[in-house]
This record gives sequence, structure tokens and C-alpha cells, in this order.
Amino acid sequence: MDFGIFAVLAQDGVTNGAVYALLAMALVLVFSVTRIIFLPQGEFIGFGALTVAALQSSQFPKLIWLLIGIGVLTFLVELGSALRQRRYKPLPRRLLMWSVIENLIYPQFIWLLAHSLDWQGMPMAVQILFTLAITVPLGIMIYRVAFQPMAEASVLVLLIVSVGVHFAMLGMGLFIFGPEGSTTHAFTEWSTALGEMPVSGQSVVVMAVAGSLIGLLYLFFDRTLYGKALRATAVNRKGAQLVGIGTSQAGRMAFGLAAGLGTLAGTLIAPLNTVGYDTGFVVALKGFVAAIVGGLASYPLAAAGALLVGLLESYSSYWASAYKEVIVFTLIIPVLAWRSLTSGHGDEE
Amino acid sequence: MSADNSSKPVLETRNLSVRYGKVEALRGTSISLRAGEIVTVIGPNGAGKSSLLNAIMGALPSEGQAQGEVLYQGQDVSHHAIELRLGKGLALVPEKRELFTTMTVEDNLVLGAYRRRKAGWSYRDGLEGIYAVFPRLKERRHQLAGTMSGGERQMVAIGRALMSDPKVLMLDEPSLGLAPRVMAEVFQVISHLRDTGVATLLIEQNSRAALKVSDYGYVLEVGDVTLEGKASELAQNPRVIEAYLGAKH
Repeated sequence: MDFGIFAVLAQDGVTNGAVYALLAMALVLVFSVTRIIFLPQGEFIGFGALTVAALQSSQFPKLIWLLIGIGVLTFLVELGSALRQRRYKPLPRRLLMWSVIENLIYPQFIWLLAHSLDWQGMPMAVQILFTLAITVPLGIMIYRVAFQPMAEASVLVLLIVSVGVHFAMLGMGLFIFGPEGSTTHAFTEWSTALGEMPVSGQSVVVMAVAGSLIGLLYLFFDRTLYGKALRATAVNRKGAQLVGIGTSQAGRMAFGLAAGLGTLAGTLIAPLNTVGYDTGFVVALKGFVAAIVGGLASYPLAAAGALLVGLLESYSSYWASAYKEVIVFTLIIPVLAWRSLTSGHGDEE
Repeated sequence: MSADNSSKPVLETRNLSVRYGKVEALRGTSISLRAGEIVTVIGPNGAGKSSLLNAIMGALPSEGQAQGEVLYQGQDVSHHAIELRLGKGLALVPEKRELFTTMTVEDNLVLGAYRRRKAGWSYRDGLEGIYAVFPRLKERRHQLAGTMSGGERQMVAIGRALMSDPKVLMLDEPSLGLAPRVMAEVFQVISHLRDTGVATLLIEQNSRAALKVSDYGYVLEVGDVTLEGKASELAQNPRVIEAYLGAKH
């Protein structure tokens, strides 16, 4: 292998690694705040990419039907829990009002927006923002319906629920989008060369977007009260409850952020890959391997792990392309061995 | 601030029971405290003291169940979530402190005011108030809470609770594991809080020091209040002296 190929593979690996890093961040975030292993992450990748593709080909983004449906379900769940509490206190009218706005009116509004504007002609950034306006509330609703009622359950039970949500969403994805995949337009046609190595504009955009998102996440966790509240919940759940950071509020925030990151990861890979409703799962699993490198707790280690996964995947696709996935997923074994040897104490659970 | 001692209690429990599955930790306990008062609950380990505080705060572990009334300023809050009780003016410093150990002292304090958002109030004002009480925390404000000494951690925990501007502060074993000198400092702060109109409900292993700063006391044994009275009188009670103060006299 000469240097040219080496460099091209490195560029490829880092580009994919940047996407895996976003996914790994989201997984670490959700796990550390809620102890949920966020398997439905992959669906947000696929749904996000397919929704942007639909907007670009002037089709109605059918994901909105799912948003409306789960919105109704979420409202019913909230109404039910409010009615059950009526033995002790009056109906929380304001809370229910908000629930109506968030879960019933907002999806209708999005539906109206989708119908009334010409999305095909919009810049891609606006299309992506509109997609986020669908997927982020979807993530929050899924937390409310599936996970919030059992927030105190054990990690294993939460994982089982997570598997259930994953399959349910996969089925709905097939129903909504059909089995065909799509690609989206390229971010840019521009490309350049660094010495002998050609650099595609696409890679530059992916790395820049992923890099700045990671920077924004850092600022969010380091500087803002909500970011600190999420970190606090991850460090000490009881302490967080005692200062009034509700477990469910933190969980909703984590799911909203994770859904957003998954969607963005999907839109970043969609111009280069054909993304179907079920493509996201394998991509998200690679993010999961990266998150495991970080022990599902450390953001910098997870990001480093993501680069490692990206590079490993890229070089193994050159030398042993048939075993590409095997090699990447086998990485988890030495990583687990290394982690269990270096960290002496058991999990706090 | 006005210590409105003659009026109604700011916090009262009526027939408060706590059970964990089949185990009853607290049986029909009724206590009360008024604004600006320091009330201490003494008793052996496992008498249900921590359960009492957690039940008042609504912070029992999920397998624990509370029954009975918790009245805050005459209103039953026993079915309110922690956030609501906190917003009304209850705050708990738990036995294990439950600090955010990988975050700085200042972040811990700022998060104490998470629910306290009012126009014209900035957490900076709150921080200055806490630093005035605990100057050491100001020196260490950029240090990670997990790297502090036991006494400093206790200060952070109390400071974090005070950031929510409580009317009733509940302290679960504040002197646990502290050196005598640091312990004296903590008790000094507790008695200083009385002057600001905050009512303090205190649980202490060190009954002698606790009764010294308190106005009123309860003795809790195997889930029941077996004795109550003015702190100065409890400290003279032969049974209390024998069981909790030690035969040091």
C-alpha cells in the first residue's frame, strides 16, 4: 500500500469516525442520564435521512404521520397518569394544557407546515432543521411513553424495553417508508487536494459539522444550567432529585438530544450512502462499540473510540473487505478485557 | 427576620408511617417545628430517623412507602413530588451528602438553585450568600467536589441545600465522620441559620452537641417517638443521658 491509498483510507476512516462519534456521544448521554441503552438510535439515523430525502424529492415526509400517532398516544398516557393521581390532588390543568400543545397541536402544525411550504426549493440546512423538528419531539415522546413509567427499573429491564422499542420502530419504519432506500443531494461538489491526496468536500463538511457539534455539546455540558443538570443526574441521581432535577425531565432532555444527534448523523451519511429504514442499526452499533470504549461514561474516550472504529473499518475494508464488520465488532472483546482489567471496581448499580 | 414562634408550625407530620415492603421503619410519627426553630431527633441507629426525613422530603427509595400527612405551612404536601416540595421551601441534606463529585464546588452550588428562577434573582447573589457563610468554599470554588475533605463536602452539601432558599432545612447526620473541630464549625453554622428564620430539623448521632444548639427534641426508638420536650430538658433527662449522652458526667 502506498502513501496515497493510506491517506485516502485515513480520510475515509476519520469521516466515518466523526459520524460514529456523534452516535457514541448520544449513547453515552442517554445511558449515563437514564441507564437506558438507546438501541432505537439507529432508527433515527434512517428516519432522519429518509425524511430529508423525501423533502428533497418533493414528497410528503410521512414520518409526520408517526409523529401525529405517537403524539396522540403520549397525550393519552399523560392523561391517564393525571387521572390516576386525582385521588390525591386536583387535575394538573396546566400540565395537561401543555400536553395538548406538545402532543396534539404541535404535530398538526408540523403537518400543516409540510403541506404549505415548498420544501424542495429550500436550502439543505433548512430541510435538516425541519427534519429535526419532527424527530426530536418524536424522541421525547418515545421516552415519555415507553421509558418514563419505568424509570426506576433495572438496566436489564430497560434494555429489554429498548429492544422492544427498536423493533417497533423498525416495523413502523418499513410501513412508513417502504423497503427502498434513498440518498440525498450532496452537501457540496467542491473538492480539493492536499499534496497528492484528493480531499472531497463531502468529507470536509462531515468532519466540520461533527466537530462543531461535539464542540457545541461540550459548551452545553460545561456552561449551561441544563447541561450541568444532565451531568449532575449522571453523576448522582439522588443528589439531582434533591435539587429538583426530575429524573423524567432529565430523561426527556437526553432523549431529545440523542434523537437530534442520531438524525444529524443520518443526514451526514445520506449523501454518500443509500439509506433505508433499517440501515441505521448497523451504523448505530458501530457508535455503540465506540461508546463501549468510553465505558458508556466518558465522552472524550467515546470520541477516540469512534475514530478508532472508523479507521479500523476503513483499513479492514481494504485488506479484508469481507470481514470488515467482523473486525470492527470484534474490537469490543479486547476493549472489554482492557476495561475490566484497568478498572478495579464493579459497577454501581 | 421575624422568628414567628408563637404562630402555627411551618412543618408538621401527622401519623407519618414508612414501610419498606413488610418492614415498618416508622410508625405514626407526629412532630412539628416552627420558623426559626432548631429541632433535633435523636435515637439509635435503625430507629427510622432517616426514613422520617426522606418521607418529609418525598425522597424515599422506590421500595419505600409513606403514609400519613406532611403539612407544610398547613398544607398537605405528602403526595407532592420532590421538585414541588423543594419549590415550596423544604430542603434535605442527606446522610451520604450525594454531591456531584466530578463537578466543581461552584457548579454543585449553582445546581442547588436549579428550581429557583425568579425575575431579578441571579444565582450569583445566592453564591455570595453561601460564600459569606462558608468562606472556605469560595477559596475552593473551582475544585472538584469529590476531592474535598469530609468537612468541606458537608459544607458544600449544606450550601447546595441553602441555594434553594429553604424555609425548612433538614440535616441527616451532618457531623458524621467529621473531626471535632470541623463538627463544631458545622454546628456553629446551624445555630447561625436560626437567625435567618430558617427552621432546622436535625438528626444527629452526636446527641450532646445537637441538643446544645436545639430548641426542642424528640427521641425516636424503633419507629416511635418515645420522648419529646425542650432540648435543655431532654439533655437533663436521666434516661436520655444514660442511653444517648453517655455517662460522661
